[in-house]
Amino acid sequence: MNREHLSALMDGELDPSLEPAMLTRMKEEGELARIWNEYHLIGDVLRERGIGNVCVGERVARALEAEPTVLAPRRSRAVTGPTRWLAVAAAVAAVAVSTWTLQRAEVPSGQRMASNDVPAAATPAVPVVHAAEADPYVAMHRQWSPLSGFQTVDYAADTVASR
Amino acid sequence: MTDREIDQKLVEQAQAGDKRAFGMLVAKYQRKLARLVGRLVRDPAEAEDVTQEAFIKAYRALSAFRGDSAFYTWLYRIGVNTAKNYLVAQGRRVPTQTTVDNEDAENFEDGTLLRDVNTPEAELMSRQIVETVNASMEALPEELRTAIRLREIEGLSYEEIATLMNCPIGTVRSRIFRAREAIAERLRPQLDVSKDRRW
Repeated sequence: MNREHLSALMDGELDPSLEPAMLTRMKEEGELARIWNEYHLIGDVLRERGIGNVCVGERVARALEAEPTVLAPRRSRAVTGPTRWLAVAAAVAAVAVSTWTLQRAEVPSGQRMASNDVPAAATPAVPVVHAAEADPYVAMHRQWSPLSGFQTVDYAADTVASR
Repeated sequence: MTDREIDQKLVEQAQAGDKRAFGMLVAKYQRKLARLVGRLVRDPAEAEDVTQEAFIKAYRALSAFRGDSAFYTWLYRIGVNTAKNYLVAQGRRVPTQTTVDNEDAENFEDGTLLRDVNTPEAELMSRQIVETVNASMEALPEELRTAIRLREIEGLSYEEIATLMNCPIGTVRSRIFRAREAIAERLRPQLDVSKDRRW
């Protein structure tokens, strides 16, 4: 089974959950490393690539023993593939929801209803309230507004004084 | 994981200090790189030395490899530069404008040229390897032969092969593996004999 996994790994077709273990075993088990080389040789021959009597692998391995070990600083892995698009979609959705919520909060309820697609005839009549009458009422009840989650400051000194 | 991603994974492990991971990359690309070098450095023994040197240089420079290009593309440039530097150091003429310079690493496929620079003994061994692989292919059951041909020569994915062969992907995976094993089985005696001869 390990050899079949190795074959699939070579082709980039191994189950991703099995890849880390397979890569580790491939390096630790000489038998799998030998098969890795054989399978690549077969592929090279079938594709009529260079098949000269080249086997610098052992010579390079011996030379590397004398080399100081490479230790490159870890880089943060770039988010790629589906995860990247999910992140983008989530960010766009978050912005859209925030914008929509704020717009709903800022638009007077009468305007929101007017913008609905419900036919005008089906819309219940909204009592007309003049702004002058509404201001003290709104000021007194602003803690119930949709923006109550935000800390607000009342600048209307006369309204505060009249409470 | 794609082929490039497998390489990148091995590179990252090598960058973290695992020399065996780099050894897997050497095993994978040694023939391809040697063939490239052999086009510039015609002597087979020298070409092999230069190939080894190129791999060592690549290892030393590995911390600078960022993965912006494929590992082999990066290795290809190191191979070409190492070969040219070698010729300069030897006081030999460096081809000013070679076909190697004009090719891109991924499409470098001509396999006949390295055979030209092989010694007669090496040439014989190469021919025997090719004959064994070809004979093994012919001896394979039709479904195994088709599966490995579609994968190795046509470069199709397992899914594409499954569609063409009208079978599950698991069957494709098994067929390709069995084909490789059958060929490798017939190849091993030759590889064991030639192991001391640098296979």
